Amino acid sequence: MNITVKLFFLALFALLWAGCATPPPYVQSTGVDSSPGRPTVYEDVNSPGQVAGIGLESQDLASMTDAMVGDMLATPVLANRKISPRIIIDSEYFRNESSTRINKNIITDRLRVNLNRASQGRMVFVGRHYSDMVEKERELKRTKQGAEGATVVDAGTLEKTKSTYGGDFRLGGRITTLDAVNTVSGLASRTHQIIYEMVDLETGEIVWSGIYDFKKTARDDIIYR
Amino acid sequence: MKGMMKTGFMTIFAGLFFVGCATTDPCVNILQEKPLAPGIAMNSVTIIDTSLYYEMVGATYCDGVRIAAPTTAEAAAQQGTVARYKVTVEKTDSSRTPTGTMEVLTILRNHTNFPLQIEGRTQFFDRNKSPVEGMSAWQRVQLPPKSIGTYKIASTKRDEVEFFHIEIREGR
Repeated sequence: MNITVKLFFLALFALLWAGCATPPPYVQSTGVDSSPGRPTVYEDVNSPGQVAGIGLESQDLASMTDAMVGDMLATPVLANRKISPRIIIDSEYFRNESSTRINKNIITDRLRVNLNRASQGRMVFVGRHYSDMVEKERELKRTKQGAEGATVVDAGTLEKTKSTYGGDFRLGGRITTLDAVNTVSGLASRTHQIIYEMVDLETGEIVWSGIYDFKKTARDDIIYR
Repeated sequence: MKGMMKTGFMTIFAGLFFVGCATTDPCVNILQEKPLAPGIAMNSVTIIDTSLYYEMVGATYCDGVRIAAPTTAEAAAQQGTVARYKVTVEKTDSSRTPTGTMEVLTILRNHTNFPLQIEGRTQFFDRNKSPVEGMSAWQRVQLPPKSIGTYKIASTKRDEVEFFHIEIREGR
């Protein structure tokens, strides 16, 4: 093979090897490299994570409680009274009748905390789930002992009250689901319906209601626990 | 034989150079992604997913240097802004609830022939255009084919809320 042919193949190879130096697809026209980095361990609670199924998940919890807080604060009977109503929000009357395993407190706690922070005194929250703690302390403040009749602990700095707060309204609610499974494809579908009701503790009237529902379909291979 | 080889080699070599990588053509008009405008446009909606809404603007490059680009919306319209979209904002509005909180809504239209899920979230601002409460959680809205859907949310703060900004993304 003479030198010309060698040169020909060498040039051809060099040209093919160099190719057209187009930038990688993740480099934008602005020059910003937007290629994905190492996945983080932490995930956004407002978005579905890597482990997602058909149950009630963090993003549902966040958007559901957010919507309910906004709605309750826009309801005059709860958020625009001359005297701020006393409200009890806990999981005592919030029932889970669904096929999703969930700790109900994660819903009612988030609701109570967000409402308490946002209402700025427009609502007063009674910690009924802490009532035994309050009662124990009140008893210690009032129980006298010894010959001098001193109480076990002093009165503290707050004014003494005859009794603790009674509630005006209490949250009730229910989580229910509709399930369907395709035995051929293995796909499962679950519709969640979560209702919230604020009940007048004197008359039993439901003064506010909220509903949140969603349907998810996926291969049911996620275990909620 | 040697002459033919030489001629062939030169022809192929010249042809390869001629075809080459066409990136050095001076004064080429190309479309490029329209970057988000700096700052926050109060009382507006931004579709942040390029899969839902995508705008490109024309620009002229000479030897890799951008020499002309539209600087105003009118100029962009004249020079040809190309928008590819699945969803558009039909209406945005806000009102006061009976308790004084602000309720905002935006109506979105699905231009496709298939159902879409979008998510919206809102940041409320005070009169100084500072956030008055945390960003709301993403709320999902179902958009049937060729139809509309409404994203609606209320603030938790009352009179201090003056402005809002809504972000829309594709449902995840």
